[in-house]
Amino acid sequence: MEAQKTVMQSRRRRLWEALDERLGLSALRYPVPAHANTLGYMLGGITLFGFLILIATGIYLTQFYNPDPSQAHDSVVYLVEQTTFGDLVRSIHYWTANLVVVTVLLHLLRIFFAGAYKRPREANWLVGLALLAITIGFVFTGTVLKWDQEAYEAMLHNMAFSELLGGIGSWFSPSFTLSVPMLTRLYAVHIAVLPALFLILIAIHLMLVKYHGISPLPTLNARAGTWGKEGTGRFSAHLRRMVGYGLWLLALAGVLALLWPAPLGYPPVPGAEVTKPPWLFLWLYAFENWVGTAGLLWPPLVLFLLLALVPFLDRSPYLAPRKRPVTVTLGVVLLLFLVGLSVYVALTPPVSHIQGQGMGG
Amino acid sequence: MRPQSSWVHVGWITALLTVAVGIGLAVGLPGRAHEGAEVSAYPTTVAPGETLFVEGADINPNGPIALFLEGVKGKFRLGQVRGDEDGGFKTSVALPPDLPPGTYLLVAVGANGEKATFSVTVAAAVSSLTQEPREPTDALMELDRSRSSEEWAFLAVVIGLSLLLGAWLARPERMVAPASPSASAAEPDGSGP
Repeated sequence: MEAQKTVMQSRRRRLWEALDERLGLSALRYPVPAHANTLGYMLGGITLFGFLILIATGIYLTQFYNPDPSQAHDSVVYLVEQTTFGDLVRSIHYWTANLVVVTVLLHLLRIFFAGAYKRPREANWLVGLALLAITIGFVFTGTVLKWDQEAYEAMLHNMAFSELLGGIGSWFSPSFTLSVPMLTRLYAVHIAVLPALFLILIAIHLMLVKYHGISPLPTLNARAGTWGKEGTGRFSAHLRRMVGYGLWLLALAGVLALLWPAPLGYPPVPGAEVTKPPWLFLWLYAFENWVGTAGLLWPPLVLFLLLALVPFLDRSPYLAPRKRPVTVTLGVVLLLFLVGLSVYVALTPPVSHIQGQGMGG
Repeated sequence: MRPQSSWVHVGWITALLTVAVGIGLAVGLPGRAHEGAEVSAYPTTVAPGETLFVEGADINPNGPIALFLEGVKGKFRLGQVRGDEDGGFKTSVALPPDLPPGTYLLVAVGANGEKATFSVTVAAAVSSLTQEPREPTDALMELDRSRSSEEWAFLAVVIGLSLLLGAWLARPERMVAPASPSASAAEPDGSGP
């Protein structure tokens, strides 16, 4: 029995060595400290697995979705009502997207509170912020594609946003080209432009994780400038656990898809603004209530700028939250403010910000 | 040396399979594309109420052939023709004036079960934004979300397999003392990165 096990292990080792020699798989490996296998330090990997689910389900959805404004809504109804697996795949796509936003935000919070943006990981923090912006772009364009009332109003906000940006915003406006409707162009952004940017940035993000190693635990005396070059854990076990958690994410999306299938409103009607945006954008809606459409541009710009400056403003050499009271307190206050705004908007009736504008997609 | 020789075998088998599949595709597919039932229409983009010229071949010799359009809005019967002795036909049909715009499959199906399809686009007469004058609403549509047994099975497999496989993969790492100094670098279980 023992001899058989040894033979099996020897075969697996030979197979691994043969593959590694040709494919350089061991080049992907990085040192794995014990804490890297905890849930908090796997949120990035879980998010990446979520994106793989989104790509797989998205490819299926593209077989049925028609990005022509006169056909888009009908094609979604057709997908839900008449295709095999269509409703399920769309619902899993919808719920996975929501869960990915949650894991992305939790990943960002973990990095922030653990001080993992400090030297030498400042650049990777910025790449991570760019990936967050791309994720938000995915959510926005995905919302527009279903082409119901909520989608149409999101499109109007896209137009308002392009006007705020002036010359730079012309690419986001329907007047950029008369040959392709705005909806079709946003579809191209959703399935081509954003995935391409995502792939480039995630490659850089992972390369930097490998280069710097896993950030240390923010223990009381842990200091910035620490490279994660030591670890007793096996990389294969680390990846295995990550995939395991990713599969749980898929199972959760499946259960949510079963209980609450992805919603769809009625075909859009120009006129009053009667819907609210997806939960990720609720805090922006509050600013729009107060200052008009300018609230779409300045608050997110300021927020992203502040986040980008965090590694350069927080000069404390320590990682522990207790030793960085000012940064952590400001972060908590900002977080509570954004959550509070979102709850406030969720509980108040919708307000019309953009009237008298209409477009055919 | 053994891994190298087995890799040479794998290389040869892959190369032979690639050549075989390539020959199959080059020889088989064009042949199939020109065999069997065929239908085509002109123009390929047409407005509701206009005439569509339809031509078929090898469908139902001396028998009835039904013509209809199939799209996301449903099936629209265009009429019936009789196949000649080769199973072909030429006809013109008027499209229903209330035909919703969209992409359709023109389907010609004989009583013998032989079927051919062709893609036809029905141009939008008016934008869907202006078709139904009504108030904007944030209400959600009541969609027919009844699931087939295959879909239930699919969902059960997705959830069940993800839960079980996820639990197995996410199990904590067994702490084993390295057998030799080089063991940790070489991934002792041989399972790779």
